[in-house]
Amino acid sequence: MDAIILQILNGLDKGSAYALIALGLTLIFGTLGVVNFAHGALFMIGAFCAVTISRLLTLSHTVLDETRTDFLGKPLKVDVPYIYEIFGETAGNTIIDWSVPISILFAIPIMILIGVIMERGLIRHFYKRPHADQILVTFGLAIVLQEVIKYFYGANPIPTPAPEAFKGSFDFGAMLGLEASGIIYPYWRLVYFAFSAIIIGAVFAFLQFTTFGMVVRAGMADRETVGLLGINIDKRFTIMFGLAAAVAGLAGVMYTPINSPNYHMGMDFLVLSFVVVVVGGMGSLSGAVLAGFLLGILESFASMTVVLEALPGINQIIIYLVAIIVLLTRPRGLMGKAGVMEE
Amino acid sequence: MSDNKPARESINPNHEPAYFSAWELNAYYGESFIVQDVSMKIHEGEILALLGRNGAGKTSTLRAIARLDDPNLKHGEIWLDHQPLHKMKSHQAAQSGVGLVPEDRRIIQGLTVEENIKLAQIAEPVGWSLERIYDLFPRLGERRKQEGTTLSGGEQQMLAIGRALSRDIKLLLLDEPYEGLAPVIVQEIEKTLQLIREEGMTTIIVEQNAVAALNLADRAIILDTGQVVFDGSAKEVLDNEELRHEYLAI
Amino acid sequence: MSKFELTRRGLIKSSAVVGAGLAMPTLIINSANAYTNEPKGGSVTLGFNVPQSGPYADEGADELRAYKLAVEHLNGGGDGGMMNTFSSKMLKGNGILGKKVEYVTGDTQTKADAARASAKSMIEKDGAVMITGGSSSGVAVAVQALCQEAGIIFMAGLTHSNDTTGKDKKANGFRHFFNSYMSGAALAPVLGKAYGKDRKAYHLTADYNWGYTTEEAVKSSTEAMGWETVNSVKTPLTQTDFSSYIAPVLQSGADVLVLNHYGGNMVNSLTNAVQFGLRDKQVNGKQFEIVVPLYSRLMARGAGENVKGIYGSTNWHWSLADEGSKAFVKSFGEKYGFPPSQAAHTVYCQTMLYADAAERAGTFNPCGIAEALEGFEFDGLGNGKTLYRAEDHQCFKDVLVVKGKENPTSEFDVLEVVEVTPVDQVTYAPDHPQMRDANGNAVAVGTCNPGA
Repeated sequence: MDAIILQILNGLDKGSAYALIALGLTLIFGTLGVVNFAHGALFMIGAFCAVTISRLLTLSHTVLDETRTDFLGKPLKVDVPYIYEIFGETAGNTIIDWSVPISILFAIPIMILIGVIMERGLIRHFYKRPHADQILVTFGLAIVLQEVIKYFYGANPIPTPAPEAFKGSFDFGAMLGLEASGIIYPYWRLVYFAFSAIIIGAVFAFLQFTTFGMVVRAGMADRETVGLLGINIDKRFTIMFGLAAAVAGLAGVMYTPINSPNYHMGMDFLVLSFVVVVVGGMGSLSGAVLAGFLLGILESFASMTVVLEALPGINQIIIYLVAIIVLLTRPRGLMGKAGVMEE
Repeated sequence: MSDNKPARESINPNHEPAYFSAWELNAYYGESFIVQDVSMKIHEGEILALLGRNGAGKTSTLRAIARLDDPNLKHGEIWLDHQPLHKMKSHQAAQSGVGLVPEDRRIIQGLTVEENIKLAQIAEPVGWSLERIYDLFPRLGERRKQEGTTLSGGEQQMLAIGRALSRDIKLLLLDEPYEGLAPVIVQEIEKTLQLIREEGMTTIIVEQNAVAALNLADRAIILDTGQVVFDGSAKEVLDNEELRHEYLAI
Repeated sequence: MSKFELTRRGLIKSSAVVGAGLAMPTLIINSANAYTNEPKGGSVTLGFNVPQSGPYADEGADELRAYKLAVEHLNGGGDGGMMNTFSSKMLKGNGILGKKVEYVTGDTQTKADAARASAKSMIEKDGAVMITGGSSSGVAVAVQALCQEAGIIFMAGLTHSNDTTGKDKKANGFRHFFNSYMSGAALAPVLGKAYGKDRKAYHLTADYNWGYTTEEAVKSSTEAMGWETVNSVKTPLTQTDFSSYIAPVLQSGADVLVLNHYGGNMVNSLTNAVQFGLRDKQVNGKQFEIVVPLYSRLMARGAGENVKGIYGSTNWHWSLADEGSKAFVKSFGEKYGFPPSQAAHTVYCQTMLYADAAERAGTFNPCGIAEALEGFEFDGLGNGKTLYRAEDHQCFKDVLVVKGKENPTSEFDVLEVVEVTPVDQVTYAPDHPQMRDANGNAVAVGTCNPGA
């Protein structure tokens, strides 16, 4: 029982990342009709926003400490962050400690800008092209972005820890009256799940309750008719691309304490996120979110020891298996509209 | 889009700028030549019935006038109240006063009745108010919070027309407004169109039910395989049985 | 759906399997030479085949730094480094056998196929007379086999699997770096002292040859001591989030987690394990512990403070106080500004050992080199007295057991040496069961291949 609850929790935080990325993918596909294989790269860029902000905050100058020696026996060079000089050491440390949440504020405008540039600069030339072309171009873009990040940040994962306050884990077992320390779950992963739920809620609320959102929903449902009513949907769709980029970027920012960001994390998530979109139904926002969480939990269950003993290696392929089954039996996905089939 | 030719006032034999005119429209669906050299002139307040058999190119002509992406207008000019529509995209044409009520109504899924109308009032210029539309169509007022696509066929048609009127349009394009509706509902819509006619709205109406359209219209144009084969008064068509037989099969 | 395959680094794993034993590529060999790439002019070319891209690029970079330093010293530049402390005094700083040492580099990308291709290129196009380097056992085994076919000496870089000098040993191949068995043998007594003999261990193991042999080594040495192995689960090499593997550990009743993971795998699995509060848990009335059998100090940077108090083993560490280590640290540190890693150290030693063997044999002929290295005893290269055993071309020396420091003073100072395990405790017979092939047969090192 403990094991099951634990794996559900596990699945929820992995599923949150899938859901957020798939949400962005579906927004872009539903509005612009573009299959955006560079979306995983946006997730990665978001994560590296957090890395960069963290580095900026810890920007230091070197000071020689005569009282200590380094490995060669010379006086030890100590790095003193500039931020100490502006805010004092304690405040400075707190700011550095909270660099990941602080990154959210900066990441939002940066990601929107990157999204808009990507859309204006490249994607918009491919609206009318066949999906295969779109895939090639965006995939190529993704590889370029990946290599750029690798060039500037190196090949190794860069640890970006959560704030001290969230470093521990929560003892669910004790709370649920089950065996204490039977179900332990890291705080930050719970924060991540809550965070993505908020973002998903905000996106849906935006679409449902604002005029802009209504226009976007109308455009997703029937782009031609929206034009007939005098509305220039292109401008709004560009903004939606920026928003989708921001969603993916934020998913990346908050993910950094869970897994140290490295240059190929975009690709790792991209493939699975596309599977999620297909299973959920291309063009269905709620389908994407639902499928994201379901597949995350499924992947988690498939990693349980009991399951692995019976079917070794199943956890790597389960998501693809499910995708194949869904495609064969219900091609429109869980919640897609009939006829919106991906090629 | 049309090729760059100078203003076509000289082609007009009467040297009288018409409120709405279309010159030598050539439109294609891919390689298919659908609208072949269609020209027409409509004066302000006139109602034109655009008739012909299935596949004659009536809907395509309306869509070309509304500047939709397909069919592709490769040649020709369209002028509405001195504005060159042929150079515009569909949303710009709509802002210049074109109001197309499409054949399948195209009520937007996921939006309520009220939202469908409000959507139409986002872009300039705005026409009738929400209340005035509900006055004209009380049934819409009753169902204002209902999702638009759950309305009956007749109610959806009312909504589509109401949506068009909520914009300040100069040319109303009606594509098969009576299609698929029970005779009782058709009568209701007919009454509404009479009202709009009295308001002086310039209209082009495409309708399979040719007689009903002709009763409403001042003039008529008949299309056959994409070309204009008749351009005259509506009464002429009603009186000429041979004409009706040949091109309209009635 | 080939786009999926492009993005799957599962290629690394499958390449390792493929590379380990498939048909050799055809090589162009100049039959006018007595042996492959016999240097005819005033210079001799060495081939440095390291990961310059991919997950171990940082280690490859450190190896390259050490290689360049070695070449500088061999050619008489710098302060001579460990040439001054080396027990053999054959190297005079005038190159090797009077020929100036030059080098070419290749990128293994930590993939067997790419590694073999770059080695082949260095042999055929650049005339390299020796190939060295690498940071993965899958790659090492593949390149070693290629060199055997080509008649080229392979001086292994960082490779820790038993297989490299075990079931996949080759007559042209030589390894200085220690192996899984030695780690297991060195760690067990230290772990027994620190954690007691009544422990239940859970193994998470990287799913390729290095993972398997390390798990086997640690398992057998700890079980011999009285520990119980509760479970062992293979994890894909490409895995980045290990949370779904950590969760079952909590339920298993184990009180020690052994991470047979290297590099990025280790950083992530260790971070996940700590996130899940494993370090603070009490199981069976004992503190839960984590063991990382093979440490990479370079990679440990990525794990940050999560390595504190965690035991592991390394081939060498810059804090060692013997003359050889001090000389190397000084030489490397002054040139590059930070201390060398164990990867840098082992490849530097290998280069020196090769050069020295050539001097003693009077030739670059692989068979001459091999004969000079087999049974060679030396000292002064940072590990104390070392024997290059003839039967398997493996160096036998003391092994370092290290522990994550509680209070590191800098990013290089994360580990401390807690025990230097004497070489007799980590020595095994050449036909030890862990060194045998799949059918349980002992593997002979075979005959050297000069190539021509």
